[in-house]
Amino acid sequence: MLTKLRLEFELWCPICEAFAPNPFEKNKPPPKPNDDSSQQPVFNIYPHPIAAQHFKLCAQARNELRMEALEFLPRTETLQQLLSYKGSSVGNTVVGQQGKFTATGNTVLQRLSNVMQKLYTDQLCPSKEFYETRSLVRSKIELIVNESNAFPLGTKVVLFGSVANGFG
Amino acid sequence: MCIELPPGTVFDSSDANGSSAMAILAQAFTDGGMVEVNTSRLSARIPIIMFEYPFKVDEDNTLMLQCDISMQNPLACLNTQLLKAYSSLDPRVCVLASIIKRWAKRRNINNPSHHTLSSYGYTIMLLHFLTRPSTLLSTHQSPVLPNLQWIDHVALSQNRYSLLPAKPNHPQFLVRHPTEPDFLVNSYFFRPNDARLHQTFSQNKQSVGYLLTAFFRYYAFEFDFKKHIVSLNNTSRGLIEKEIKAETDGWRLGAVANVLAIEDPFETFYDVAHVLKQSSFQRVKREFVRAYSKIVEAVWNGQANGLNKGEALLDWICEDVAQQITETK
Repeated sequence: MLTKLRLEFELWCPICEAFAPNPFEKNKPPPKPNDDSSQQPVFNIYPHPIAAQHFKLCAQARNELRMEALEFLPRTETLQQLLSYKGSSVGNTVVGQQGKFTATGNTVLQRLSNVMQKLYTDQLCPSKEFYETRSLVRSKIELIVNESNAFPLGTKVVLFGSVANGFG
Repeated sequence: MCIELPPGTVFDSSDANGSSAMAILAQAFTDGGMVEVNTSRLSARIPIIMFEYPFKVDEDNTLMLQCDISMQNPLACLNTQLLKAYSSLDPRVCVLASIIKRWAKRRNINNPSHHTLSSYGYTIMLLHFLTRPSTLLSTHQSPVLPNLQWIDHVALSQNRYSLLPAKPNHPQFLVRHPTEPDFLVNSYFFRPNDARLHQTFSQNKQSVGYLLTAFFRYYAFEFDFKKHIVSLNNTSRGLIEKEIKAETDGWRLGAVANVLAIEDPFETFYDVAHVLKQSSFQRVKREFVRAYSKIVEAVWNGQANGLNKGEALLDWICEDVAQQITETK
């Protein structure tokens, strides 16, 4: 019974929060007339004995559900698996300046880091002109505030939010 | 921008929130050449003037800068100081935040008016992730960033990192909330003008690529949205549970039971993710799973389609949703 429960759990997708259609439903006998279905045994649709291929069937059904609901297959490998991946001897061999080497998970993440750093420096990081403009605008507004005579002497204008918190 | 009045300034009782002074200022803005001066929010508890500042780029071109100015908004300024402190602690923080913002915008999950998260929400999620000693980063005992609101500065003087059992609650740290008079905000946080802090946290050398991957994985598979809230007020006792939040701050469990909840660092009664609905939350969560899956796919099968090159991978992670839909059709 535990194995049958494990088999059924294989159909559960925590990302879609739904069960995939049970591939063994087709084994279910048609209901007899005037038969109370609640009295039928719960697990009679499952094969016996359960083998690895039955788990594969359920995983396949779950993947079909995921493709339908998410339009992609989630990858659940751990970070350790990702970092320790050495690449296949054929598929992941790339040619670098130093000759051939095998791209590992670590290498791919390092390349991703380099591109992130470059993109930030070249495009996303606020420029010197941004800080100059920001300072100029703040000073001008502070001048108008103080000249309006609506506020006491010593009133300041400060910057807040994304323009000033370093995450803008 | 925010107008900061000298300490002890009190407006007369007929203009308690300063809206009359702000109305005079609005006129001064118009006279001073500001454009589209909008005074529709002058009657709010914190009056705000919105306007455009005509910034002359050169002889022929003027850039219209959208600005707003409020008065006596101490919590917003405090919040800015806290985030500024975090962003200046480690250069990786700004890189990660910028890339995450780019990703969220392109994946169309960064628009509160469409029930997805604000940029501020993603920033808090990132800081939450970086400040907790995660099992994902198991080779390091200390987190990437210290928790500035809870760091034990006595332990820090001995080059140890630990969290305080309770925040210091001296009267000078307690600020009355400007719109919720019954709520006292504990404004304490450790100002990281301290070499020991950098020394203690310089051990963590993980690359931004690794941290981005771990960030996606954390919110895709590790973080229990149904049980916990995203918060910077996690103590040594661990993550804050939604049930505790319901007891201490009156969060309605029914409203946040199945969706992401993000606690504001100072206004702890405020859920930054309150705009999320069940369907939009599912979409946000799926984008975390999708981003992580793309990185795994690039590591496993990247050579076949060139995705193991950094630029192609980053473009793929941040693929524009509109473009993706067009290509699918």
